[in-house]
Amino acid sequence: MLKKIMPRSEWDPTDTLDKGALTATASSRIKRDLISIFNDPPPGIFVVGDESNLKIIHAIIFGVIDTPYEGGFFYYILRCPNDYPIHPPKVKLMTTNAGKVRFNPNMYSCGKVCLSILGTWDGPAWSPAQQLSSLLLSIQSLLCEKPYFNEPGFIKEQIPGDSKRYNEFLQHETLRVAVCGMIENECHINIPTKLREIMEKTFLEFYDQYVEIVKNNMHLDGTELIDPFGKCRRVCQYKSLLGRLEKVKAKLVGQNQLVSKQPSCSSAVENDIESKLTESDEILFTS
Amino acid sequence: MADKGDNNVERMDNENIKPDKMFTLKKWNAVAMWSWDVECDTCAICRVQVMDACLRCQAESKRDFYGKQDCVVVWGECNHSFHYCCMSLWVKQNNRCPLCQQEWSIQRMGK
Repeated sequence: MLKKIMPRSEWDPTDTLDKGALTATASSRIKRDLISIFNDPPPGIFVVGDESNLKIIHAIIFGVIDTPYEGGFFYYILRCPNDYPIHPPKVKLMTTNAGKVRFNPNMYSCGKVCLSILGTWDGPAWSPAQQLSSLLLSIQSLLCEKPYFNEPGFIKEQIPGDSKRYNEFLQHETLRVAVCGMIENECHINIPTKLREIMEKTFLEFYDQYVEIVKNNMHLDGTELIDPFGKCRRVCQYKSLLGRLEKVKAKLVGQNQLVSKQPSCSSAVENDIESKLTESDEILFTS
Repeated sequence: MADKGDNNVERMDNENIKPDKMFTLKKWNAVAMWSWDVECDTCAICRVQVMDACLRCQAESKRDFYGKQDCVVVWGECNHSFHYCCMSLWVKQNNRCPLCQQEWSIQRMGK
C-alpha cells in the first residue's frame, strides 16, 4: 500500500477556495443529512452547520470509553463539494495542538484523515449512499481500542509492547491536547459556540473519569512517551495535567454560577459573545 | 319533498325499528394504508422517495410554470432503485451501484 500523494487543496477543507455554489440536490441533501443527525444523533458525535456557509460542517467526536481517546474532544471541519453527494466532503482534524500531535496512524498532525471513502487511502471508495453520519461514524471507528494496528502492515508489533506504549502516549496526549487544550482553547481555533457549550458541559460530567485516568497513570509521571509514527518524544506530566484539569473545572463552575446568579442579563451577554464568535467564524472561512 | 322524506325516515326509526336495534351508525371514517411494492423506496443518492421527483427536479419545477417533470425511476440488475437523474450523475463517476457496489446495469426504467 502506498501513501497517496495529493496536493493539500485536494483534502484540506480550510485550504480550498470557495468556488461556485452548491447544486440544488447538494444543498437539500446536506440539510437532510444534518436533520437526520439531529433527529437520531449517533452516540459521541456532535455536529453543527456553519452559520454562514452551508458547505461547512463542524463536528466533535468524543473519544469512546475503553480506548486511549476516552473523554477527548476531537474537532473536525468538513467541507461538502458543490456536487455532494457525488463526491465526498473534505475533512480535517483540528485537534492537533497546532500541527504537533499525530493522534492516529490514519490521522496526521497536519489534520489529514486517511480513509478510503474520503479518497485519501486505498480501499472501498466513496458512495453517494453514504451520508454525514456514516462518514463521521467511520472516522470515530478509527479512534479505536488499539490504534497501533491501524497502520497498514502492522499486524504484529514491531517491538513487543509497542501497542501498549502507543496507547500510553495517546492517553496522555488526549488529556493534554484533546481535553485541557480544547477547553482552554490553547490553539485559538474558532469552535462554534454550540459545540463549545457541549464540550464544557461534557467536561464537567466526565470530570471524575478524567481524574481517575490521571491517578491510574500517575506512576508514569516523568517517564518518556514515544510516538512510533510521529517519531516524537514527550515527557509524561500527569501531575501538571491534574492541576490543569482542576483549574479548568474551577473556571467552568465559576462561569456557571455567574450565569445562574444573574439570569436577567446572562442571556444578553451570551448573545453578544455568540455574535462576536459568528463574526470571527466568517472571517476564518471566507479568508 | 325533502321534508316529507326526512319525516318518513324519522317515523320509521322511531316506530318500527327502534325496539330491535341497539345503536345507529351515524358516521364512519375509512383509513387505508399503502406502501410502494419495491424493495428500495428511497433514492440513496438524494434521499427522496423514488416515486417522488428527485431533489433537482423538485427545485427546478418550482421555477417551471407546469411543474410536472418526468423524473423517472431506474432499477438496476441488483434490484436497487434510484432516480434516473441522480444515477446518471453518479455513473459518470463510478459505474457501480451505490448500495451494493455491483457493476451497474439497467434492468428497467419507469414509474
